[in-house]
Amino acid sequence: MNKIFVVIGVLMILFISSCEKEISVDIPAVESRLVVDGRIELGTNPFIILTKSSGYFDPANFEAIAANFVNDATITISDGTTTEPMIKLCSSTLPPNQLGEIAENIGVDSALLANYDICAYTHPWTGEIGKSYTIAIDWNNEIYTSTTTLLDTIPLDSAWFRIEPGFDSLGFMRAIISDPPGLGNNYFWEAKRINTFKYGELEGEVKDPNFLSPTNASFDDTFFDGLTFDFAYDRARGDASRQGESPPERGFFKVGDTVVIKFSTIDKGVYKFYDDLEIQVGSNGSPFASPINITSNIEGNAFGLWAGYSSTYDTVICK
Amino acid sequence: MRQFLLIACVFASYSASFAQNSTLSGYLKDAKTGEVLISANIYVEELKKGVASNLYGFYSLTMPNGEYTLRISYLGYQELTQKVILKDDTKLNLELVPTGVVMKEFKVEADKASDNTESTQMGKIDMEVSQIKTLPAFMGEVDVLKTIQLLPGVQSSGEGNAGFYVRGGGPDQNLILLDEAVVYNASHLFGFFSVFNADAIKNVSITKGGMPAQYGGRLSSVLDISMKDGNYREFEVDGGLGLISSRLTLQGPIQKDKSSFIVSGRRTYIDVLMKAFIPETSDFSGTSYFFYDLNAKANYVFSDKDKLFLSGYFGKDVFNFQEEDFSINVPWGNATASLRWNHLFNDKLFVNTTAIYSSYDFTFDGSADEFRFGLFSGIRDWNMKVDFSYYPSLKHTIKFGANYIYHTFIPTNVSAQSGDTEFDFGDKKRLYAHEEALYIQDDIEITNLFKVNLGVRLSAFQHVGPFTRFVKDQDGNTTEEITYGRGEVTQSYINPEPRMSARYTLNETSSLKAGVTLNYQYMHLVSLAANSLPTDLWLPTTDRVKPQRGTQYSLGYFKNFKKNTYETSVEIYYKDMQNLVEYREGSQPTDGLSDNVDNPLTFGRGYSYGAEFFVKKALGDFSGWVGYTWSRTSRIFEEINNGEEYPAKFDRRHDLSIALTYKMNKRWTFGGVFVYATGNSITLPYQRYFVGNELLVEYGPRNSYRMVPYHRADISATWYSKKTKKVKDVETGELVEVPKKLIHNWNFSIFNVYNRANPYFIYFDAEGDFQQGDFQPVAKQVSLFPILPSVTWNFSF
Repeated sequence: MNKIFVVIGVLMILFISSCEKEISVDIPAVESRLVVDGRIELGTNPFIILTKSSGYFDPANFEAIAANFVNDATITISDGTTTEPMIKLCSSTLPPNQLGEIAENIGVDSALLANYDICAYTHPWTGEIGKSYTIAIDWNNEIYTSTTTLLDTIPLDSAWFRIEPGFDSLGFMRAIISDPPGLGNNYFWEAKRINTFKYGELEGEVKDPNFLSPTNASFDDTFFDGLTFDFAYDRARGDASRQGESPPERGFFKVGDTVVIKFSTIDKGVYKFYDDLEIQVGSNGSPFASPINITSNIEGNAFGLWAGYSSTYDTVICK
Repeated sequence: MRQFLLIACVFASYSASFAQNSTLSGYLKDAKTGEVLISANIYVEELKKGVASNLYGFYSLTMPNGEYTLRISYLGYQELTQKVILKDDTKLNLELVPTGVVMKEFKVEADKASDNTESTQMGKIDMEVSQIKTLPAFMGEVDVLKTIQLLPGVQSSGEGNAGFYVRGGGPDQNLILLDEAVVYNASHLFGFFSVFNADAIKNVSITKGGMPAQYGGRLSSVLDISMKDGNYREFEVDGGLGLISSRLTLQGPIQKDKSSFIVSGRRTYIDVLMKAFIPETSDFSGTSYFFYDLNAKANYVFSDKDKLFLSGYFGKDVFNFQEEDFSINVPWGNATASLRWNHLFNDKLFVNTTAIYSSYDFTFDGSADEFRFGLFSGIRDWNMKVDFSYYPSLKHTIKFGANYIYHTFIPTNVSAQSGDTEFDFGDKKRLYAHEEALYIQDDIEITNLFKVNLGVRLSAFQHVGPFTRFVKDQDGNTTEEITYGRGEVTQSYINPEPRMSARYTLNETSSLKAGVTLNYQYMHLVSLAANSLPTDLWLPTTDRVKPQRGTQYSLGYFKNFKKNTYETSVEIYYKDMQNLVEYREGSQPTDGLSDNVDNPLTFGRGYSYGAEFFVKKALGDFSGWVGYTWSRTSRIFEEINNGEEYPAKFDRRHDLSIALTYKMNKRWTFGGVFVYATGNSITLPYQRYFVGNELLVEYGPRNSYRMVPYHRADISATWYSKKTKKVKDVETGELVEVPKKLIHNWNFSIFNVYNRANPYFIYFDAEGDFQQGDFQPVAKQVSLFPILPSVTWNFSF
């Protein structure tokens, strides 16, 4: 359905000469809220970063960003039988490799991160299939809770790269999936190119350090319950500096890329978050869409997500 | 039904008490074309009373025998004064002469009858198409809906948009009729143009308050559009060439004064132009868009007692996009057909029986490689109605009738295929419903000063199977399935809708009017978008969706000045609306397996109040109107905006429209339009936060921010060719003036003269980069139409 809005957009630009200008709008100051960005995956430790929301037009310099991190919360995690406190790790005390991981997660340079005291919360447990993990965050005399479940993995039947008609080396990733009978399976697609740039400023660096999710990366089985079918994904937007031979390569995988696909099952609350996110991101700038707020799976007056991912991985060499 | 007949008989017995009276009746027609005149006034000097002709030009006056002077007036025609001696029931067809052969508008010789202060009707305005044609036209396309928006109490839904909102009601609350057939989507190209080709239209009337009982099924307004019957006397060709479209109309007698036809078509050629200007390498190459309209009508006059009309409308928008491995084809449009039979039982009882088909369809077909996606939605109606007009005496005008509609709703039906795999979207879903209504109303003159219109409409609606109701729990899981068989009623509604309006004459030039109306609406247009889109769905009232209920109170003061040259009015209204329908916040109706299309809906209420000021100068070379509306419109939905009251998206405090025309001489007429409106309300992001690397926002209260006011001026100039030429009379050798065969005119319009960048929408973007520490969200306002000149050439022979 999104396609039709693209079409409408194209049509309007064609049909009318529209003009655009920057305006200033006054919005009232509102109290900032807790933002949870937490995840647990199969075989990895839980990892939570807490921040505060800011006023929409507030400037975002490093000081402001640093000031938005919440370092004074206490969090407990429960796997349904045991409840334990999570461990706070702060950038000022971290070994460089963990610092790098945090830097990746929040999208800043690790050198930069070292200058500020930024904390994350973790625990030695690793995610197990079938378990539900509940966190309880105690901050500013409020308790925020959330539960996520690691569901059975559903691997792709196969995945391959195909050059798109009209191109000689660019294409999309294709895959086949067999959806198990019974409604309620939710999926999440991510991919990264692990080969290095062969040219340009970033020569020698890995193309995508992190997994990236393209538009409409999450989907459910409403329309294909129990079916086997194939589908395609383009390459995620990601970091502007890592687009490759921009613009031709933007959005495409290229012959020579080695791509790791991370295909996850997610629970309903996580799916709802991503589904809303897609609508929100997709609707900004469209005069035809109504703005929506994203449904968080955090109980309490907070934004964000506590997400469990049961992932399987496939590696595809593009040729 | 038996009760209804009984009431009809009671009313019929009225005539018995006026034994020495006789009835004067007949049709009012255009002397040139033989077309009947709708809502023309017949005024009896001696009695100081008048009636208006009905939708078919029929009038009936029952008066004591005697000698009378009739004055028949109609905007754009020379007034006719006719003496009659009434001894027996008399048939009298009267013909009015247009004031100009081409320039029909505005020029009426004497003063006109004061329908403004006389009738009990409130909030009804008739517009003449010829008047509309002299106003500036957007991109050269004369548009009746855009002219309607210039009236007080009627708001446009946005820049260049033909959609309209009446007194705080949504776009689905307007009953739009074309020759009595409902038009479900009255706009082309996402609202920039309306589907009504002005060349094929005779009369446009809008009722925004105090809807008479003969109309029903909508809460806010009735826009009643009548197509031309076709010239009964001469063959005529009219047409026009515009910037984006061309029009051609053929009309003429099949048998002079007995039968006539009209065929009128319009097609845009943006697609042709685009092909020429877009290089093949452009991203937009392969895109094409056009729309067309076709109106056709034929009629046959069997006798003064029987007439038959067959009319139809067919229009489509077609959007195409074609690339090597990617193609989209999106056609959508309306089709209507009406067959009407006018029958005169006697001089006082007129009946019109109509069979109507009307439909709206939207189709989307897309394919990319082996992936194919199709979408189809629409609505279809079969409609039968019978409407009686009964004129027992000058003190009563009674209308009664019955209506039955069989609705078929086709909510979004999706099909998709990837390679050989056909996705399962469940059975093709259709919803069926019956809608019935009986009504009766009487326009009663109680004293010379006091007149009341009493009416009641009894409406009923049944949603019927085959249907399966999926009962959902809070998480959206199906907890129960209730299945109904073919024709089995899932839910039935029956509602009385009383209406009353009254006029009290204060003096010769002024009157007070008041009205109360209760309406029910059984069909709902649901939209995910902030604007009307072709994908919006019509859905019926079901076991889950209740009928919308509207109550409107209005009060008005009407005064005419200078022998009715100036008509002025002030009206205030309060409207309460219950059971309004919206999608839940963030819902994406997929209409998948095990779900009902009405499950994602949520229900609420709304209200609107306001004051409307109107000054109109209908006579003279300089004419036009000024309308100003002050209003407030709110919505309250439990599940939207945390249950707090919020302004409707078309809530507008101030709305001012000025429309003027000046006929300088026989060759030049100038027009001007100015509009000012409070900015549209929108929802702003209040907070931002990050999850992963995605910048997300939290929006503030719904519609809590106002964009800057909208204002714009348009001007036009129309040049008319000479209507006559001088030729030498073969016998006398003298020069005589004879009408020219071909007459034509040029219309030059400039839209948005002072190039105001009105806000169309605001979107939010971020500049800079987090890594660099210079990240800054910004708001950007998009405007659509700058100053846009256009030219149209119209001809007639």
